[in-house]
Amino acid sequence: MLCNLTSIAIRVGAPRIVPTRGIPYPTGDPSLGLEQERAWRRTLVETALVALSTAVDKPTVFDGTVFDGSDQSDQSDETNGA
Amino acid sequence: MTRVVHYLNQFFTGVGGEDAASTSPARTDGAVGPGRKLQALLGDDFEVVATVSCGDDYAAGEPKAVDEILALVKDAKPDVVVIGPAFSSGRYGLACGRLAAAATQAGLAAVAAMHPDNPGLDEAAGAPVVRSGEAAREMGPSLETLAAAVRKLVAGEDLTDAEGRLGKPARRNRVADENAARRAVALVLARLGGDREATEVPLPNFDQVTPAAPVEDLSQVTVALVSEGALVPAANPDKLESARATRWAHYSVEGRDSLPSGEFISVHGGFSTVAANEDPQRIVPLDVARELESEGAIGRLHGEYLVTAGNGTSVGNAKRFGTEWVADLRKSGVRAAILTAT
Repeated sequence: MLCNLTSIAIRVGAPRIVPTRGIPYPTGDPSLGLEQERAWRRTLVETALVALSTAVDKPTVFDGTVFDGSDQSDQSDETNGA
Repeated sequence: MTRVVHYLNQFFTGVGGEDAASTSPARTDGAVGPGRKLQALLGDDFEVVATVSCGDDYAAGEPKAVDEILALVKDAKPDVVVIGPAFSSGRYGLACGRLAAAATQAGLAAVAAMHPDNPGLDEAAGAPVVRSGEAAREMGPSLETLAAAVRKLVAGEDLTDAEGRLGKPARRNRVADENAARRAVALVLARLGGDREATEVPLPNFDQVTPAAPVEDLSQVTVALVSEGALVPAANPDKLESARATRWAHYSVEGRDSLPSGEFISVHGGFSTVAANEDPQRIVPLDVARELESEGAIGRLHGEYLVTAGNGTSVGNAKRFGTEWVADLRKSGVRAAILTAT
C-alpha cells in the first residue's frame, strides 16, 4: 500500500506500507521536474515490489532506507510535512 | 398492552423468494412467520398488531420504499417497531437499517436486528440495532436477543453491549455524577489496576489482517495496480461516487503505456484532484509499472486496474470491496497487488 498517512495505514493494519509525499498524489510529486518525478515514482513502485517480496508479521513501513541507503529517506522527511 | 408492528421481507412473510423480490410494501394484521415466535417471546404485555412486508429489491432499490413502509407502519399505530432480523442478507439489511433510521427520526421507538457485518448497519445512522446470527438457522437466539431489546427500549432504557447493541449509539447529553477530572483520575486508577478496557470514548474496532506470504519471484507472477483514488475514464461511465462509495470499478490498461491526462480523471471528493488530473500516473503508476514489466522485474502487469473512492467509505463497504477485489484478482491469476491510497 502506497500512501502518505502511514500512521493510519499502520493503525488499520495494512501489512506492507510505502510512504509517499502527499495525499493527492500517492505516486507523484508535482514539485519535481517531469523526469525527476518519474524517477521518484519508479523508486516508489520498486520499493513496493521489495515490500511484496518481504515476509512481514505486522504492519511494516518500507521507506527505502533499509534497501537503498539513506538518501531517499532524507528527501522524504523534508517533504512529508507538505 | 404495548402495540408492536413487525417488519419482515417477502421471504419471511411467505410471499415468495427471489421471484417476489420486487413486491411493493404491504401490511397484514397480526404476527406472521417469525413474528409468531417474537409474540411468544414478548408475552402477554405485548401484541404484534400488524406485520409490514416488502420485497428485497423494491425495499433496497426503490428510493420511496422506506417512506411507503413507514407510512404502513404508522397507520398501525405502533408503540414500538420491531425490524428483522435481517441476518447477513444485504438488501434486507439495507431496508431494515433505513426503516430503523426513518422510524426513529419520526419519533417512534424502533429496533432492528442484523449480523454485525450487514452493510445495512451503516444505514441505521445511530438508530438502535442489535446483533443477530449470520443466517436464518439462528432465528431462535436472534429473536431472543431482539425481544429482550424490545423490552428494554419500551421501558425507556438505553441499549448497551449487554443487549447486543451494534454500531455507534447516538450521543446524548446527560449530567455526570462526577466532574471530568474525577472521572479521568478514576480511569487512570482503573488502568493502573489492570483494566485496559474502561473508556468514555470507545474507538472503532478494525479487523486484524494476517499479512499474505511474500511473493517468491515477482518476475514469474502477474501483478495488479489497484487504487482508492477514484481515477476513472473522463466520462465516469460507472458513475463511481466521489464520497461514501458503494461500488468499485475496473478499467482496461491493455495496450497502454500510460493513462493520458484528459482521458482519465479522479472523481475523488476528498482532496484537490488538480495534480491527479494533470498526470493520472500520480494515482495509478501505469508508466513505471509497464517499464518494470518490460524489464522483467514483474512477470506481467494485470490487464486492468481496480478502483474505488476511499472517502468516508463505511468500514463495511470497504471490507466488501476488499473481499470482492481479492476474488476478482485471484480469478484472473493475479498474485500480488499494489494499492495506491490518497
